[in-house]
Amino acid sequence: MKALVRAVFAAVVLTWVAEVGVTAVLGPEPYPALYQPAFGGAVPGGGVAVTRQPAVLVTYADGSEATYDHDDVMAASPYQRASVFRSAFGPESPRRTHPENVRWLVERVTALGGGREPVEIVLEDHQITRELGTRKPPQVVVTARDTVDLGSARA
Amino acid sequence: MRERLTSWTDRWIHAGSTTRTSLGRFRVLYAVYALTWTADFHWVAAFPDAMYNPPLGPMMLFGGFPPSAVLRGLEALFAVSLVAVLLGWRTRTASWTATVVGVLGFGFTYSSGKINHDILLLLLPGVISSAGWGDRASLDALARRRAGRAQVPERALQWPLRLMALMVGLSFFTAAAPKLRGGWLDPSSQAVQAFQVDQYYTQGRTDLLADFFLTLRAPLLWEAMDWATIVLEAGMVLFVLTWRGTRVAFAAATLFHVGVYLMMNINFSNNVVVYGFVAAWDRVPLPRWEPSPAAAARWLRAAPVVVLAGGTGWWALGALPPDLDRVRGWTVLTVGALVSTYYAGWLVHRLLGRPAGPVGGRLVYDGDCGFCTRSAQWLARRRPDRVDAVTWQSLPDLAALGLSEDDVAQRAYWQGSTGALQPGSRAIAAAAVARGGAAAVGGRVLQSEPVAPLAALVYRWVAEHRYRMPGSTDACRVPQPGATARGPRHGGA
Repeated sequence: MKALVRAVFAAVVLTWVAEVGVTAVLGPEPYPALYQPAFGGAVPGGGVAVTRQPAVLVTYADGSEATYDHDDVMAASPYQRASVFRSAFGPESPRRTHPENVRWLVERVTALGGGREPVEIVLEDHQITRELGTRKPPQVVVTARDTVDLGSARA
Repeated sequence: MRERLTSWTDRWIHAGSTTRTSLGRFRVLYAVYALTWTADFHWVAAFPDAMYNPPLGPMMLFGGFPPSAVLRGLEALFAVSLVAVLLGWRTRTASWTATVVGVLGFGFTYSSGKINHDILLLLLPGVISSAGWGDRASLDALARRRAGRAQVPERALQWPLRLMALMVGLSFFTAAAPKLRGGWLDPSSQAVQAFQVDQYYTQGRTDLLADFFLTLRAPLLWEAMDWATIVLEAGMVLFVLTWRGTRVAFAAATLFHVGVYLMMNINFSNNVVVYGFVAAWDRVPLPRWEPSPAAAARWLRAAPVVVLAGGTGWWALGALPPDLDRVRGWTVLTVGALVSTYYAGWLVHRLLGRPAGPVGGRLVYDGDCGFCTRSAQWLARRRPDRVDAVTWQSLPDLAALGLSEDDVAQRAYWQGSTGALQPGSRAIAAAAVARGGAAAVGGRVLQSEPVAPLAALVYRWVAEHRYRMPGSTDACRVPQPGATARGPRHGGA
């Protein structure tokens, strides 16, 4: 029995070491795994905070325009909507042009627009730099801007 | 060597005094909390399979999100298993079911692109059930009694508890490592502050003290928070090596979580519930419930129906309204903070309080060593009536104490009023306690479970390098064991 328990402890520690090793090499975090949040990891320094925030710019068929953020688009998710949005539609996401996702996005902004038909959807990624300890207006830089190919959703 | 290591490992794994009564009560608290937790898996079915982005691991075996009905089925099964855990019915099976279903169900939601770090809360029932948390305050205990089987011992199996504590420590380390690599300890970066700003604007976490901290210009304070975070997260894996250390670290982590909630509105009440397994719930006075044999039989007959109907009924009620959910989180954090503060106060009281027995004794040190002499005289100066510092060279018969010249040349010894000897760091700690005042606090810290092994290492290092210490001479060099003692024995003090 004691040998078995020792083996269980060894297995847990070795699995943890393997998971940490995998993360160090490949980057993404495994699951299920003994992890706690790293709270951002790297920091910019220099008295500023740099955050990323997506924006969805929609032009509807009636000529009206609307801008939605990750909270609007990913309202179905109960948590961390920015991360969920980035996973599906972030500039680095290979899933952002998938017809199924585009179709879903069209339906979503149609619902957000009260049934209006979108004729153009632009995905932007903003880098926002804020000075720490102040409420000064942030410096916003558009780091990525892509027009969604709505044709793929209709195909 | 290998045998010694195995023996030490076994002692460490199986040490502890947590009782099954304590775990049984904790099981009830855990189940109540977990049932009120939003185990909502089905929302993810609203997303197309093209959004399925599983983390590395078994979730990659699935090609997309399951249909809503499957996810709702998992939610219901999770609730049913938690009701069984609550009542202590088929506890081990129910606990593992809760763990497996929880890990799987949340795994699907985490495959939408964000892992929420609830893993400890999900693993806990499976792991701790092996310690015997279903053997008290449970229908299983009732069934065992009714069947005339002997009650299991009150002391729980300790290894699952140690394993759980170790898992907490390891998981915390993964939070510290990226911070260390990312420059959190760089004095020019205030990482906690930057993260608070991010949470304030990106996640809309603007409640409680968030506004106050948003404009707080105190670089030193923010930098101290960066360091404190790293110390807590990286140090946890060391603290969990002893039970006292585990409790100290869990209490500190609870207060840390409260601070994070006040500042960033991030609720880590799940972790606080996990820490609860080390609390002594058996010390809470509760009336004993002993049903009559007829009532026990009725309870056991009804158990499957109650578990099934209770679980599915509870699941059908849906998630708590957001306001109640906040109250739930607040309640856990507040209770956790109160328990942690009480524990910290109790520890401080123990450190500062008067010792139960006589504290006086004799400190035997190496009179040839200037550093040792100065240290011993400092310890004896305040209360010479309690600390009798004597050189080993002045003792007429070392062997009568059970010591050799090799022993006393390498380390100091404390002989308490009962005659028992304590070597090395324990001798210094005992002398410091006897000296009283601030030194007594230091002595108690050195004697405490988490610090004592570290103190022993430090003492050994200092003893080996004492010839480099202030006031030292070349005579301070520690001879190799078995070597002839230096020079003639001194005749007097």
